[in-house]
Amino acid sequence: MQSLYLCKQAYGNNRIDKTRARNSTRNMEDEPIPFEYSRKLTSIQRSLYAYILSLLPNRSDAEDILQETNLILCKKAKEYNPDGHFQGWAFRIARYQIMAHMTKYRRSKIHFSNELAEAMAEEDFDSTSLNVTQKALQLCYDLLPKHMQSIARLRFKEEKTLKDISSLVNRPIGSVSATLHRIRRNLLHCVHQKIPRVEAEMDM
Amino acid sequence: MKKYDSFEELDQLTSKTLDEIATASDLKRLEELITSSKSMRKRYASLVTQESLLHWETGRVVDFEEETVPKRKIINFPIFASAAAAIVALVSAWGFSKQSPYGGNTQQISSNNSEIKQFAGKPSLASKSFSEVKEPFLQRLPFKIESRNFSDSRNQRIAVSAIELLESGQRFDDEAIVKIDKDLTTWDRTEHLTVPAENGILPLDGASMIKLSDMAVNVDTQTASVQETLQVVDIRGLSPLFSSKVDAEISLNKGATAYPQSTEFELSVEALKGEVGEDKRSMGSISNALIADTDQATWENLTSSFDVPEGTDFLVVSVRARIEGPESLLPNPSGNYADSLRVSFSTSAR
Repeated sequence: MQSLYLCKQAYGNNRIDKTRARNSTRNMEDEPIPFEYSRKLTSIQRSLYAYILSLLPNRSDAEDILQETNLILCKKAKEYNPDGHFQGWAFRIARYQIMAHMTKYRRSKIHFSNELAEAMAEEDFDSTSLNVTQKALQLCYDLLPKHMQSIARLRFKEEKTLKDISSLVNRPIGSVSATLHRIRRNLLHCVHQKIPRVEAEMDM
Repeated sequence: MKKYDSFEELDQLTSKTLDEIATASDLKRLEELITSSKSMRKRYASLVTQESLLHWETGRVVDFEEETVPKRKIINFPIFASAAAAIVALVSAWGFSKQSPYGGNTQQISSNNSEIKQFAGKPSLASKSFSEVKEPFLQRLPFKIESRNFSDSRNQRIAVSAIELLESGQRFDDEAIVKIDKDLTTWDRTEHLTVPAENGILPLDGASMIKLSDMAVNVDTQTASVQETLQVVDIRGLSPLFSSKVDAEISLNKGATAYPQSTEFELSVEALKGEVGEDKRSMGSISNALIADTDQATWENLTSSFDVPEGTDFLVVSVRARIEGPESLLPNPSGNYADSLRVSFSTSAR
């Protein structure tokens, strides 16, 4: 249900060409997105974002590509074969968008190569396991020492740059970078340990 | 061993890349590692998935303990705002196209309003209005402290200002001294409340003593009271591996009055928890009280000892003077005094 709004949001987004957006909105109103399609599109949003971030490891770029991909997926709703693999189809569209982005900004930004986009596997971003990972991550985040939680919050919630964090916590950038590295490793290790327990609890 | 080392390098380069400080050569090396084996690729995918959840689910992961404040999250996180708006938009659109538009919309809006009232903890419109009129400036505070220990909004405002200053890492305040001692930072207001000897009372220690503000009289309840936040201690730097105990001690006295007034003094230590810039909630507190004698020559000692609850971020030390009954309505020009506040910490392994 949310993805109908996602589609409307994608059409109305300022980053998208305005004329195209107006025409698309009219199409949207004329041809509503099927409910099942909306549900599927909503359910893969997190894994789609993770996949895009793996190839474009920049939050702003990844969000732009997610938005563009959603727009295309909304427009292609009628072309989708209900018997097909929705996530695979969506990831393919995302991959084209990512590769186009990489080509466009090849000279101005550093990027992974197109070969990596081919190598990254869709199954590594399975949307069905994300709920468990998320619950485990919640448990693990609470176990982080206070100073790590503070830095994690500045980086992940407030989207501060390392330079900003460095001046806020009065520590060198290298030290902040090392702390974030440890935070990610600690969380990953902890999440792997917690997943069986969370799965068991969810089954109950 | 080789596998562990490779993961270490992959993890480090991934972290640098996600923090946008990786160089072109870092990125090239990372790509080599990712494509070198399936296990490397999966490890990278796990790290990025975790990162994306931290971006995407900041409201649920980074602020997990604060899920009882949904309105704030909707404002802060556009993704959640989108999700919430999506439900409303879709229900509205569905109702518009399929059923009576007014009936569907009205029901949804009414339902949302009741949820907001419930989340805000306001049982009725009357109490909400009273609260807003009574303490309008509380609405402008950067965050609130959910505690019964603050008897008046003035005192809550002082505590909020102190915590805000400590959270911002500032070292100077016009209304207090900020002291840093290893892992503890203390916002100390006692010096700024001091007066020399007056009303027949000599300071217990040194040339000055703390004078509490004038009491506020509540005619309806026949009480007069004043509370002063004396210290706020930032203990976020203490290791979570140790449990802490705080001992607070203060000496108290009251000026002479022409008629007997039974003044109760209370020393409180309260533990607060909350993320930076967000509402703080009480983790527990301890208060000890005594009835002051009428002899200005003697100071009475009051102590409070408190095992600091795990997860505490700040400790607030306050003192309160209170008179109950008809005598509270009589003028009290003599004042209430405190001196020699001592707050000490001891730690032990959990």
